[in-house]
Amino acid sequence: LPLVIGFVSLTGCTSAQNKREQAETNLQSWAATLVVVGEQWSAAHIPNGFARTAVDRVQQGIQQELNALPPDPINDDLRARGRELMGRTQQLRTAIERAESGAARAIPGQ
Amino acid sequence: MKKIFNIALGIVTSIGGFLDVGTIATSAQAGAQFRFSLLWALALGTVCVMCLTEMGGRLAAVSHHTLAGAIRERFGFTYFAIPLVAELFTDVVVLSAEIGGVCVAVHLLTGTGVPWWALPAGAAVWLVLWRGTFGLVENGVAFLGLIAVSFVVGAVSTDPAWKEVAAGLEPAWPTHDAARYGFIAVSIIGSLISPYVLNFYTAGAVEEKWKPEDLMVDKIVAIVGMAFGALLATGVLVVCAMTLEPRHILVDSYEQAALSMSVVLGRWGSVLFAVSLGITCFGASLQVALNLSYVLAQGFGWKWSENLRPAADARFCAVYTIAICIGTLIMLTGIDPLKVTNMAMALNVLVAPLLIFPLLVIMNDEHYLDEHTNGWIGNVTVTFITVLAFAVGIIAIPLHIFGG
Repeated sequence: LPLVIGFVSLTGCTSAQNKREQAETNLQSWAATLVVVGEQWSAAHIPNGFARTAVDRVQQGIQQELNALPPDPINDDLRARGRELMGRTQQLRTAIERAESGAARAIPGQ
Repeated sequence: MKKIFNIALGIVTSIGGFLDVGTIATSAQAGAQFRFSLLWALALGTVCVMCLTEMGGRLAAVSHHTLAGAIRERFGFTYFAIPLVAELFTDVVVLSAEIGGVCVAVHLLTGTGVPWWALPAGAAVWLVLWRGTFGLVENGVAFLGLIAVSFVVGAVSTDPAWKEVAAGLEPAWPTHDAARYGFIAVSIIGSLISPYVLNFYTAGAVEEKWKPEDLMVDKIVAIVGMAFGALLATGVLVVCAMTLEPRHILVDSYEQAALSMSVVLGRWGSVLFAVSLGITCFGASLQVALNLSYVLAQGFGWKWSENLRPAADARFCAVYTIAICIGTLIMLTGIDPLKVTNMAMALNVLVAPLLIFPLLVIMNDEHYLDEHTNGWIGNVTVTFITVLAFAVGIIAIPLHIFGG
């Protein structure tokens, strides 16, 4: 029984830690994607439709990460980071709508 | 002259059999997360698919049997029912992923939602199969697929360190995310040794009435054609390794994969990515749908040929019609096409041994192959790669799904 309890708790800890690490990696990936979309759109390398689609997908990805985070205070920093990224996606979306490439370039990177 | 033309045509058409939604997605994921270190999986899968297609072509040319027909004849219906059911299920998921790839391509070009394109894409696939001939399916779309050469152009433009690229051919233990590494390795091999490719190749050889004199054509097409396909897939991997990996961008969506090409090729990059994805997936959708009809018709002894009018082989046409409807419905639900693709490719690895091992038995049977039976190199190579992929799949797939 102690072995089983030990195994289950160890697996549980690993799983929670894994989830946090995974969320960190994914948020970093979405943040970097947002930066590249901004760069490429400002340089007129990608059309407006594709840029909008990509920003929407980033937004969706961040939301999924936030939803998947366990409601543990230890993850508060990640939630804050996610909300901040959501704000940046909105900024880029607005810049694309208004065709303001300067504003898109001004959106901070990671 | 005719032989040279047939070889050239075969090499071009093998792009359709090689490059599809699975190869593009898994190569992009591998490059973005693990740089060049999963090139060995691509190389192993390519060697395996070269051997398998050559064997399938040899079986068809010498015995005039398709793979499904030969398995049913040699092992009886009771055994045949097992790979049949497994392949029907897997192929429908693969078909759905391919239709999803077409939808994603149009979505990337237009900005409209993916599910909106499921019905038009499914209808277009059905219409080509209903009205077209085998030649159109095999050659027409494959020629358009040559646009995928843009991946190689993109890869060369990134000017990678070729020594580092070559080092990726040596299998190495991952330094991080072992479960994901294993899962992507399995998915890459799965995208190459898809049962549909093998069945479709033998059925195509019988449709084109190959004879023992065509064995050299079969050998060259299998080796050079698949190597050409592998080169294109390597292009996808290298582009993503050079553009996304340094920025820590994982490929969790096709938009991220498309960005890699725009970083390299500027304003044409994302368009070329979308068009290449759309055409190769459309070609693969035709082949998978047709393969479902081939397998069922050959297994049950129905009349079958893509060159017959639908009224002459109604059951054959009914099968691909139903399969396309199911594949389209899955995409209409709004499910993430990339997730469906990953699942389909992993399923391929688990199902492949059910077809590959009977094939090996048949390929060593003089009743079917006369003096053209397998040598030990082919037997050992295919067995080793199939067992390895299956073993890694059994471990990596649950680990990946449940969090390893």
